[in-house]
Amino acid sequence: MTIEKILNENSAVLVPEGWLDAANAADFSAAIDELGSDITELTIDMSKLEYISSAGLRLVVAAHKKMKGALTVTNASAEIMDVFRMTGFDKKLNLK
Amino acid sequence: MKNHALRRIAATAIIIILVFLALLGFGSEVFLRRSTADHCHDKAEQIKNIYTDLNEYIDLDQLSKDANSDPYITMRSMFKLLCESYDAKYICLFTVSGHELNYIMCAAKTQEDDDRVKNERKLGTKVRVEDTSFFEQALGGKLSGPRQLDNSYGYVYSYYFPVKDVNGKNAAVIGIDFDVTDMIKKADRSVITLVIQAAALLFSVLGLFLFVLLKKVFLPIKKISTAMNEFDPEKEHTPLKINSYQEIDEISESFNKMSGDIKGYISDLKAMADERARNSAELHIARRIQSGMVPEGMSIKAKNFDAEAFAVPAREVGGDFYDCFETDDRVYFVIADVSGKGVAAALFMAMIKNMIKQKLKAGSSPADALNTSNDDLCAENPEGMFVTVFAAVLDKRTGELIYANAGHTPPLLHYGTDVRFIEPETGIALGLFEDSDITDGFLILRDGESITVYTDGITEAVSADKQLFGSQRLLDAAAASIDKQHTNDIVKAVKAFTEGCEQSDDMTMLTITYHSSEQHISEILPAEMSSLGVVRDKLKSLADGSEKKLKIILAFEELFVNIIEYSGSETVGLILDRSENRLTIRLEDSGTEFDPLTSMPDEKEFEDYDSGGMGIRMAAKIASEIRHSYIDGKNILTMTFEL
Repeated sequence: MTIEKILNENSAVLVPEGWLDAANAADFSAAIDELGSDITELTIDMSKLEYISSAGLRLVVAAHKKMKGALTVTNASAEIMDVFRMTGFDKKLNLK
Repeated sequence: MKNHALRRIAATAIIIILVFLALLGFGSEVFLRRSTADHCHDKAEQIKNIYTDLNEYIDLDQLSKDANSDPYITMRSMFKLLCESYDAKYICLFTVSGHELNYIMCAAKTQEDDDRVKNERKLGTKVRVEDTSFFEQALGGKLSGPRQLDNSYGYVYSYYFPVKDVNGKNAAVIGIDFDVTDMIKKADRSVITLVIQAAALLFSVLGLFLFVLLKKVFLPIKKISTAMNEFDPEKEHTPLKINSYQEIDEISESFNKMSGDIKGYISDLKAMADERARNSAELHIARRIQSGMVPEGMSIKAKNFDAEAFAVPAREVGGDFYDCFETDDRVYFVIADVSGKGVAAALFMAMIKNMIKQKLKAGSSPADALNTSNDDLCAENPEGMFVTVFAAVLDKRTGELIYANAGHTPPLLHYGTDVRFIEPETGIALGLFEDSDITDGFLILRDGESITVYTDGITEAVSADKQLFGSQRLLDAAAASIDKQHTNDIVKAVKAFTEGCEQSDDMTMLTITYHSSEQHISEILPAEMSSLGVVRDKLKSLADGSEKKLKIILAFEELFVNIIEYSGSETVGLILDRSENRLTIRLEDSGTEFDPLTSMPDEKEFEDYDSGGMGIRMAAKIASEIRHSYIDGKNILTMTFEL
């Protein structure tokens, strides 16, 4: 999957595009892993994301852990918000 | 018409009596005539002796010379004296030459006769005779006679003896005639009297005999036969009172006893007939009740299936049954054959049918329903009855058919022109052993595919020439049925086959035909991530227009990925079915048994979800129903989504 990556000094923005499912999760996982230890704040911009499954949610949790809570999720679609609500992520994530 | 016995007896007796009287008359006549002859013979003997004593010989020449000579007159006087003494009518002396008698003299007892013969048989009279045997015998030295003569001289018996001439030679014959007219008349009268007396006696005895016979035998028999003819078991019967001989009394007593017995039998028969009528009425009601439970014919045309059934018991009521009922998603059908026939089988049938129906309705799989029914039956089955059952559940959404077989005949599958038996793992009939251990099997019916179940009354239907209908004819009949009315067509074939024969066993048959929704996809996918995108596209189009589209795809993905990652199966069978407001996904894999619902991990802290464990929970929230079963080595997961 296409993942746009915007890196600043110690923060980054990931913009995954299309479907984040079990088949593509490895791509997104790799994008998170590639972030250097200097990056302490991460924003996942979901404006281009159509769909996320539990495989994607796992990576969101992993990113949240890696950033020690400094994770922001922005522009999630209504559909994706439903998925967050289903799992209780809406209460744990910093959603903008 | 038969001869009347009394008349016959009388006629026979009369004939016998008449013959007897005739013999009696004839016999006594012969006897009396013989006595007369003996009597005359004795006198003739005496006359011969006297004459022979007095005359050693006679001088024929002298006597023949002159009728007025002394010796002639003397001899004639002696003849007359002998006639008078011995009651002879005439005594004559004559010589014989050939057929001619030369009379020398004749004398008679009465003066009138004496005068007559003195003239008519005077010396020198010649008389010709035909039969000379008596004279020849006399000349031979014997006393011959009687010669019977009936002429102008009266009815006489004549005897003859010889007289010697001077040379000591038998030269002449003396004839003695005895008048027997009176004696014969007397004898005839005696005979007639005897016969009349005998006749009177015999006919009196016969009359008396016939009277007694009539009174003591024939009239009682007539009375008994009239009583028999008039015998009416409905009416009061006065016992016959016959006073006759023992045998006749016994007949009458036998009749009295028999009529009493018949009355008893008739009343027993009536009671039996009443009972039979009652039984028949009860059976009729039982038949109606059973027809309510198992209609003789059934035809259902529903959205996802057709059902067609036929059931005809061999007797009033039978032990076969079929059942077919549906819930929102499923069609349940059962066919069974209870051992035996008639009321016992029907009662057992009613119990089993209800038992299995309740269990299936409560959600038991067919095998569970049969196994638990078997447990119930074994617990309470004093008659040792058993039942073969085929039970199945058809999922209207997916065409999935889960079935279990307890010793029943193998069902037929029809798809287009392809007809075959399925050979489900056959458990044992219910009611026989405690651990029935029946297992479920399953298959997927395609759109338009039918399953036909039947009892052995179909395959074992017997034709006029004692042939069984058999499995091959069943297959042929099913193959010839192309209009989907399989039960109807097969039953027609069985009826044609058994034409003219009495139905020997209950016959029951049921066909279920599956119709999938218009949007129905069935395929087998490799158990790989690449399959996700393929199915996603199909789901997108099937769930098009639904706001739940992505969530359905999400739920599918979670369960599908679970299979790919943990089952070890190489392929996954997929069925997608879209009806008006519902979408169903069925996943089948041949991996290790795994029920995702029962093995769902506990809820965790958010931070721990990086290791996963939320997918199935989400799927369960999204789907309106998720059902897992493990049948025949396959995990089957069926998810339904309200759109």
